[in-house]
Amino acid sequence: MVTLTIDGHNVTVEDGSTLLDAASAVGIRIPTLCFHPDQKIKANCRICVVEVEGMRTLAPACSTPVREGMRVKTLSKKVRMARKNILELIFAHHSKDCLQCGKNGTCELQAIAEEMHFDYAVRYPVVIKGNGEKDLSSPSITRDVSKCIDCNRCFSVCNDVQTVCALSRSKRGYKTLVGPAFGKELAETVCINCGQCVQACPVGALTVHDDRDDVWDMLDSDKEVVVQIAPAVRVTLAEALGEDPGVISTGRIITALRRLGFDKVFDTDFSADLTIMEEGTEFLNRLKNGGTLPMITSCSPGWIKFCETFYPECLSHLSTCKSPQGMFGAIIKTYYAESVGKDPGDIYSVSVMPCTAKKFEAKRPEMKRDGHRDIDAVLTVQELAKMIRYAGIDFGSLTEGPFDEPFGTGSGAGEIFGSTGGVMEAALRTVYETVTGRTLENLDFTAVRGFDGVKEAVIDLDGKKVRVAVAHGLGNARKIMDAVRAGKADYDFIEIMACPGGCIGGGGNPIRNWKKLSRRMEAVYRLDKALPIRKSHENPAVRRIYRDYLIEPNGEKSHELLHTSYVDRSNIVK
Amino acid sequence: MNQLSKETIDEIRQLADVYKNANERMMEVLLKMQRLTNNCFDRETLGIVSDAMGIPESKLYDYITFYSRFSTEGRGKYIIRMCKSAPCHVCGAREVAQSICDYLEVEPGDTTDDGLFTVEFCECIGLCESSPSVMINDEIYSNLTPNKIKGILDCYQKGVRV
Repeated sequence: MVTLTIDGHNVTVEDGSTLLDAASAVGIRIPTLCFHPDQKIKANCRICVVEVEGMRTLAPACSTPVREGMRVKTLSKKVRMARKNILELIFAHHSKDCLQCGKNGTCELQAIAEEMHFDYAVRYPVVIKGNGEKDLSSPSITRDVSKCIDCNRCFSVCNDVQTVCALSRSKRGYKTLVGPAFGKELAETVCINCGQCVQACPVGALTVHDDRDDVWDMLDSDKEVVVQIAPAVRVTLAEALGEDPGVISTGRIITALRRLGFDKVFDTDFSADLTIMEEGTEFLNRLKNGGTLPMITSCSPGWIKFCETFYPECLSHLSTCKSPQGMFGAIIKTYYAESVGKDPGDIYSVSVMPCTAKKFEAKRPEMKRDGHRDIDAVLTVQELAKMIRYAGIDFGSLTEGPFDEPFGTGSGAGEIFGSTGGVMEAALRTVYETVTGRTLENLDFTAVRGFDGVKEAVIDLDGKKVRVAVAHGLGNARKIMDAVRAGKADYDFIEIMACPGGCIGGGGNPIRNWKKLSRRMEAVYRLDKALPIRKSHENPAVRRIYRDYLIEPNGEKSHELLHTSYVDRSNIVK
Repeated sequence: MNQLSKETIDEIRQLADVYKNANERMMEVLLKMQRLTNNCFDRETLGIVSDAMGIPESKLYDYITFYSRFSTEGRGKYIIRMCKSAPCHVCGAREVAQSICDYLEVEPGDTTDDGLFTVEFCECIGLCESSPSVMINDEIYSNLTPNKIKGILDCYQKGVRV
């Protein structure tokens, strides 16, 4: 342990802590920009500088380790002048049109400028990067280089965590630029639309592609506007509206969506259950008939694009099942349209997702039939939260509403799709009972829960040992996929989610860190425990749709509506 | 855009193998590759290099745009690197640079119309004791005067060894 003094307060912290940690331990928050609690230290923005007695220059608090007897000042005149100067240097390259910025009100730079009473007067020549045009090429992510402060947080998550490497750093000094190589548009790169860069960006340089206007217009039209909400949304939406991480707000979201004018509010947990029926059956068929194993889940569209781009030779390992969003989209425009006697063209299907890649998935050519898109618009949690605020709805005081039938029932198995390991656990609950014919006593497969990057388990299905693995975050997925490609993966069934933590860590959620993620994860399993039905095959809505329409899992109708195909995208890498 | 021949691509692959066996030789390997590719790594070329070396394009782009000896835009066969640091400057580097630009009818940063030379300024090349100095590709020319450099360029133009 090391003892030091910060602004006159004695503090004892562990050896190896930084000045930032030590200050935080005595309740002093030092401003930071390039620092991110989940990333390695970069120390390039310098806004966190402090004065250390005996040191010649100011020291960045994020990267300076504590030493015994240090005397630190975090707010001396010297520090304040330096920080003001740093803000001036940042604003010499940062477009100040905050009012038109997607991050207005949630921008970390804006917050620091406000805290420091910064008057936005810059003594340096102001040179804004880029040509004033935003990169709107990606259906998921909007990039505005005029806002970039070169903090490298997006670069770090894209290269180190996700190992996608769509973002590059180029040049140096004043000319430094973070973005795709050769000034390419995002859609031309290997970007897999996961939106983790949006989560990492402290300013408005990377934001979620905004589809709110289309939805507002449709809410005003004659079309029937139906909406589905994904499992993770109910544990992150309240957080996006200022409540604590992990607050469950399913009923209030339904009420809010009705108030916004959506005609029908459906539960994606239902189609998650449908996914389990299809994927579980597909897995058992592969196991029985010697199909390609290990089979890998296909719920995460970022992961799918990653596999198509970097592991095209492994596409046969992917389950052919559409994601829950995709399945629901197809069911709404067919079964539902028929049952309410409407032309699919008169139905506008919206989904609320924690995910930016779902916007890409909805636009895939495979996701339409007879000229009708399965899903017409995807809103992220961030966008729905903004719509709720725009409509002046006091989310905190809303009463809880029920989902609409016939797709208003989801099981706990569907709900846990929101967390890493959830799809695997949900599948195992159903697969176990299907194979053994016995009722599963303990539904909690805890080995596949939690935040370990790669989780493994062996499940005994009446003598047949099934080896499963779960990975979340594409850096972890790469470890498993290298083994799969080399034919050395000793697994039967693998779940992969593109985002760290699974959907609760998705790019469309409110900005997160691991601490918030664990609160969200607890909430997901709390929801599962509280639901009366916890197994997909026991969901009465699922049983009904098989009885009335689909006939059987993996049947002809299922294959037409609920399954899909993949494309080799590796030429974009070469 | 570089149109690389099959032979060039094979040579790039061989160099990539050198890197794969010894990662610390990245700079050397890339410099050698650049010599094969019109002194530039354009989009197509970098794609081939990335594939051969097994390094993502984004990381190679980071690397080659950081160091001034690499370029992403097409350059001449010979890169004239004129030192702009203080010791060369006080010994008459400005006049030498002016003489080069006048003789070749280009501005610093430009490539001659015949594609033979690209003229660039660079930081100190460590030859202060015999300044002013320039580098033409890997060759060093020191104690230059405006007249001397013209003679050297003339040899390059005629394809005669200096």
